[in-house]
Amino acid sequence: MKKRSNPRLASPSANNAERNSTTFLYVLLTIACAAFLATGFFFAARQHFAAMDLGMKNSTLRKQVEEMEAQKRQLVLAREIVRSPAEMKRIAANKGFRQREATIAPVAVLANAPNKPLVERTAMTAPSSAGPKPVKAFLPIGTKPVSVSAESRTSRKNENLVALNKLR
Amino acid sequence: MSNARRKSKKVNTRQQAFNRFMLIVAVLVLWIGGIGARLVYLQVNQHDWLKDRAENQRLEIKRSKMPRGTIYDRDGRVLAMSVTVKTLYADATQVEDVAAAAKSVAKATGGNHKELLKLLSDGKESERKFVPLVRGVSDEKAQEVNKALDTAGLKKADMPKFAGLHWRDEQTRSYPHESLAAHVIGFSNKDGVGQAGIEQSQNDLLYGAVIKRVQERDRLGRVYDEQVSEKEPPKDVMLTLSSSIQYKTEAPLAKAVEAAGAKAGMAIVMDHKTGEILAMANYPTFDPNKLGSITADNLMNRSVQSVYSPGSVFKLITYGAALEKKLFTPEQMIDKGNGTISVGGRVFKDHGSGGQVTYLKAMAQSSNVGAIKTALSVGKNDFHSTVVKLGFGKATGIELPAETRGIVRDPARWNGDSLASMAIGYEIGVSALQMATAFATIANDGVRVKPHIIKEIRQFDEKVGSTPEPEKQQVVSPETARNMRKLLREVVVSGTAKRAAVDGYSIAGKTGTAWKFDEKTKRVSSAKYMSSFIGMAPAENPQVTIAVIIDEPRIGGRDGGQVAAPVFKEIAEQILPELNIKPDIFSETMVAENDSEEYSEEPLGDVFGSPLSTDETVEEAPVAPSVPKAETKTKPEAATPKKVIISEPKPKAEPKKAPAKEEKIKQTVINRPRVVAKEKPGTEVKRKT
Repeated sequence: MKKRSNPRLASPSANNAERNSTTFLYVLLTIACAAFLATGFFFAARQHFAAMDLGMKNSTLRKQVEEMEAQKRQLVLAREIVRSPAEMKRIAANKGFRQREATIAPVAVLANAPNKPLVERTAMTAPSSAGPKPVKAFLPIGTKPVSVSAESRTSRKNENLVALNKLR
Repeated sequence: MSNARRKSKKVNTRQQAFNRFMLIVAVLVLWIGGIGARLVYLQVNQHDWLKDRAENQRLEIKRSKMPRGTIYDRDGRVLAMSVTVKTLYADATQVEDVAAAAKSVAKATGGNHKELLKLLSDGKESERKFVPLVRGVSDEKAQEVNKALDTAGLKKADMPKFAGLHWRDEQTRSYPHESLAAHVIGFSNKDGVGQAGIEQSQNDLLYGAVIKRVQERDRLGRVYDEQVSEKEPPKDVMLTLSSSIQYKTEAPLAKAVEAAGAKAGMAIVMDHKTGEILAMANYPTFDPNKLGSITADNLMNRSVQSVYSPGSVFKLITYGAALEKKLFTPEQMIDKGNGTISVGGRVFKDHGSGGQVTYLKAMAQSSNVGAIKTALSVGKNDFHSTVVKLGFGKATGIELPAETRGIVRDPARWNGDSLASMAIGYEIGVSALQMATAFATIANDGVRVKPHIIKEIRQFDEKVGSTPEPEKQQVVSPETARNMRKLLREVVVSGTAKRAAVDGYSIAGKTGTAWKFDEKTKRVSSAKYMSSFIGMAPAENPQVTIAVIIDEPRIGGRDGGQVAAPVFKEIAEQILPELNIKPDIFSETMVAENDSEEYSEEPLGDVFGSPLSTDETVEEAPVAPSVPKAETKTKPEAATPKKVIISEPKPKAEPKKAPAKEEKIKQTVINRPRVVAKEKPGTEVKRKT
């Protein structure tokens, strides 16, 4: 017959040891659970704050993108303003240039034969026209417009003719 | 004894432990119960209030507007663009010391202290959360203001670090080229809604959508999450205009209008092969950046919104209709008789002598008699049909607002002299664009291409749509168009438009000088002219069509050949090389100027009053060619015999005259019909019906 081991019948020291080990196990288990829980909370908190941090960075970057786009638009606009004729005139005027009617008489005479030129006269030199064509030009203040005399025109015409004939 | 004592002690210890345990449980139950009760109270009774408070603290809903779409020219240059500017505003409920805040803001922004103080005080009283203090601040300026307003030790998520002050982004529309193409581009108001031009007609595409952002913030107000509602961003519009060509068109036009003391001027440059408008200029103009400078006079895009009687340029249609019916060839002769013709009881005359001339010469001299005879041979219905086919009497469909249809009456409503009047460009109302399109049709070998001004629609620099292929219609035969160009060429070579000749290029075109309708007298006024020249270059193979119309020139010459043709020349000289159109002749000017004979136009051959006698109701026409026919009929004394020719001194092109002399000429012209009317009061009226 097998003898049953009755804990009540066991010695007190044995009982104490068994109880201590059980309690220790419970404590360990509790500690483990608490540690697991704490670790979970820790990671969750870390994730949460990391997500918040990322969200903030994301928001800042998005704002930066918007600001840069706005700045790009402003730069494009500034470039267009500077390139506009009205602004160019203003800048030229600020730099000391002024708009005036200058008399410039560029004469280009073509000729394929000495007696029969293709162009005998242009609108600039045509006698029936009101006068030499006014050309708008910006001249620095103090600069007098170059007036071209009839003689110099003729000589220039001849020079052009010679140059063109050489080219041909 | 000792056992019993030990037993009772054991019992007591257990009891004590149990009691202690129960006490802890009771405390815990009470604690949890209290918490639970509080939770129930908060979640049930205080739910809405708490929810609102939490959301207000954490969530922020921001509505901002996307920048309005950009308008580009055909080369991608910006014509209109929206940029972000900042507005400094105060949440008056958060501002504690209003006076100190006003002083600080005034110092930082350079604003008026008293005004700021008033704004803040009023806002504080009415507990307003948005009190705008400074508007339209650039980024750079905003940073300076932030530095100036920085309060040490203040914890605030956004700038400036000043209690109750915040920045808000807003949009402002900018037009970098100022008045360039202002009538085409239009402008938008401060709410970003288009009010004129492309800004108005394409508002749906350009309008900056409102986007909603739901931002989640931490306790310091820093955004850690954001949800943006998806909205379709606005689109950009690319026009067919070239800013360079536009400038080269506007500058000579403005100069000419100023020099002629004219009321207004219009110019259109058109690529007739594609129907693209390369330039559309109007003068006077306005700067869309300065809305205060816009007036009723300078706002109107006359090129498409105003109606006028074209005068002799309309002979293009007259001869075109006849050529289409093969009634003549350009070299054939036409008999101008004695230089007058009577139709429907009205006498029309030429300024020159009569006799036989070729059609080429008749066109070159802008013969009224020749044109009227031609129209009579064409017939009412065919003439009207050609007029309609060339696009008159209906809007061209260009993408600009408030385009006029013009005025073309049904032949059933014509009077006895209507055909003759229309043959020389009266009793009809056209817009500059319609007229330019008609010439473009001839330039394009008879194919009418619908004019348009939008090249494509873009989004984020990507093409997302374009206007559909423009409608094309063969209106007259290529042969007719070629013959018409031959006639038009002669006008420039030896006719009324010698001043339109451009060195190196063959030009073909037609001048027009029309008397304007006077609202006061309800008659055409010989003191008010509409001078025009519409042409194309090169004549043989036209690449571009240019129309120039000057409204009421007062100083110097008034003929189209004197006022408008030089503007055409100046425009063509500049833009033809830019368009890479190669010179096709070398001696255009020489040929034109060798011909010493000068022709000028007779605005109207009728010496007996208005041929613009029409009962047409003018809807949109500021220039209304409408005169009640009854006026002539009920005043027999106003009519005169057929063969009365009064020679009138033609105003010649001259430099600026003294005002007194100018006035004298005007007076002479004004008086002419009246003198005739009084000449023979008892004369019997002979009118053909």
